Amino acid sequence: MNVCISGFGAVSSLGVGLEATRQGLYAPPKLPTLPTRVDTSLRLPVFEVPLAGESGQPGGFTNTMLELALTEALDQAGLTRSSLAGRKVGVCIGTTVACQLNNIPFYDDLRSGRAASADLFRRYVVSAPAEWLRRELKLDGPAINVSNACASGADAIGIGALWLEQGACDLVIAGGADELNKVPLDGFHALGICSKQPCRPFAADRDGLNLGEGAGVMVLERPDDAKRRGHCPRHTLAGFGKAADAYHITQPHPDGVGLEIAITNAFRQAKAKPADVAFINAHGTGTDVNDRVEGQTLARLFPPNFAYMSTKSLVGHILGAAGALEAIFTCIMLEQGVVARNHRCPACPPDIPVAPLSADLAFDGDLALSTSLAFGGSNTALVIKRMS
Amino acid sequence: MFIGNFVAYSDQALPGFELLTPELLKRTRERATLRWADRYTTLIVSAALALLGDDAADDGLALITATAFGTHRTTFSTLDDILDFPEAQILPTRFSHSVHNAAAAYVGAALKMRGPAIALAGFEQVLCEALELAKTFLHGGLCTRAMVIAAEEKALLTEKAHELWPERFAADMPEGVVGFLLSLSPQDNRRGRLLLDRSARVSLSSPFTFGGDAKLFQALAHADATSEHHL
Repeated sequence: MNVCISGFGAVSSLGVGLEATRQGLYAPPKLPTLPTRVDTSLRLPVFEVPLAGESGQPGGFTNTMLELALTEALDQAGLTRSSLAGRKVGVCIGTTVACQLNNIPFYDDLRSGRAASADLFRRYVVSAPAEWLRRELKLDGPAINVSNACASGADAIGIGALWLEQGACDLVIAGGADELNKVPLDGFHALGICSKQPCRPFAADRDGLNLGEGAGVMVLERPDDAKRRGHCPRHTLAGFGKAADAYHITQPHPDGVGLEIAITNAFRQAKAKPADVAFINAHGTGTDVNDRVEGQTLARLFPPNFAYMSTKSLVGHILGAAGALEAIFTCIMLEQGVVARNHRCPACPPDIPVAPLSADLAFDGDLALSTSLAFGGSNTALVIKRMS
Repeated sequence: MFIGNFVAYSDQALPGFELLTPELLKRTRERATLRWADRYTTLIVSAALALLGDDAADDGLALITATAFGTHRTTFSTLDDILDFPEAQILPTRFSHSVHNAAAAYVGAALKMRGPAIALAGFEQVLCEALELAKTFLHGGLCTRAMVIAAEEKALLTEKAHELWPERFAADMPEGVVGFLLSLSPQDNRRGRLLLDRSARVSLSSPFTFGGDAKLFQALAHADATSEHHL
């Protein structure tokens, strides 16, 4: 696989835009705080995006974040919205919240036989992110919303790259977007996997995740097309691997079977081997099971003392956008030549053979891996390469 | 792409569709041990079991599910919990089953499938997009066979959709599921060749919010390996 990442844009609790993101990756971590936009009695810290907005409105805050990330990605790619109109541009966006009508007042009216808001229902139908962007930008290409839980954003990027390789379109807008919402907050709490403290991915005393929100968008192109219009991308997507666990609806396979297949397939596409990667941006949610399975699987596949970390200690778990934003963080770290540390994990945990990075690490390599593990045993691996 | 198999079930008597009966869903639940699964998942698993028949799944088999409203019955059950229970005591099982890809997880576990599984959701011909994606996966070497399964369950939201947006949603929308087993290998051809052309897709008509074409569904029910289908 050889698809150019011509531009990218990011919105997360680190800030709006790449400069804030870059600084936030290496700065002392901001701590999660109690939600201000979600009406909840649960005292669970979250990573909020520093923007005003309202949670739970179809087509609202999620698409606002998506649009901000898209604008930056297009700008970095040297493109404008008007230059895309009528072109064979594909849109592939991962999300969880935006694909479900979980507005509680709307539903309360509906179930009670009161007049539910037709306007809210219509906004839900027309706001599915990929289809909304295709309409907004007047594009003529495929548009799909990937709702593969926590792997959605990474899957969207992989699918976008495949579209280009197969000639389904000439340019792709791919990524993910998700906002903080009461339903997943309550749901993850019910599952017993939310921490009441700042999350501690891979740490011995890890006790759960913090939810986050944000959007990450990449503009993908074939190398020849980018070259033809005089654009010099700084990264390529070299490999996309995808595999299922065939095991359990919420828990990963204890031996990381699907994750291993996904990583192996991604490396095969990239014509690379585990020893070639400078670092791994792991899924690392801070939950007991995910981190144990992922850490043990990575330790089995990679050379001793490989470098890995999770950015969820910085931005939380952004569900459908997580894989996309983490791929963008990976690009930034490849560009900087420094991989950010894994915060709040001071020592090697007893159940994981190798400790994540406890300090920022400068490196010389040009290849990195980003992994995503999702509800449903859905595993995704992206191999990203820095262009020389 | 070649069509290895096609299945279609609906609660209404539609041309090309078998009737979706409680017995069928019960058989599926028994066969796949769907103790916790909801109706939407049962629809998808029913199609997956029928598509494969006695064949075994292998690592080369991919699954793409497509829906507009998805698991909204379970999503609304979760909202019932939030409205009716203390916030800290909602049922975890309902929440975990309200995600769109729960159905794919059950198919994977039931058929021991380790190939790529993707759940799509949308209101603009999501079935056609899913079929196009299967083609991309097959040509891209991500799989050697792909199951595409689109489903829509009947529940409060689909029942009220017409009232909320009469110009867009029909009254009394059917419940149903359609499934395609696709391959690039002529050896897998049982129902003919499927030719996809996005630019020629102008007047598709489907009774389902996941899209597709009623004429295609009808034709596929009786198609053999010599058939050619356009979408």
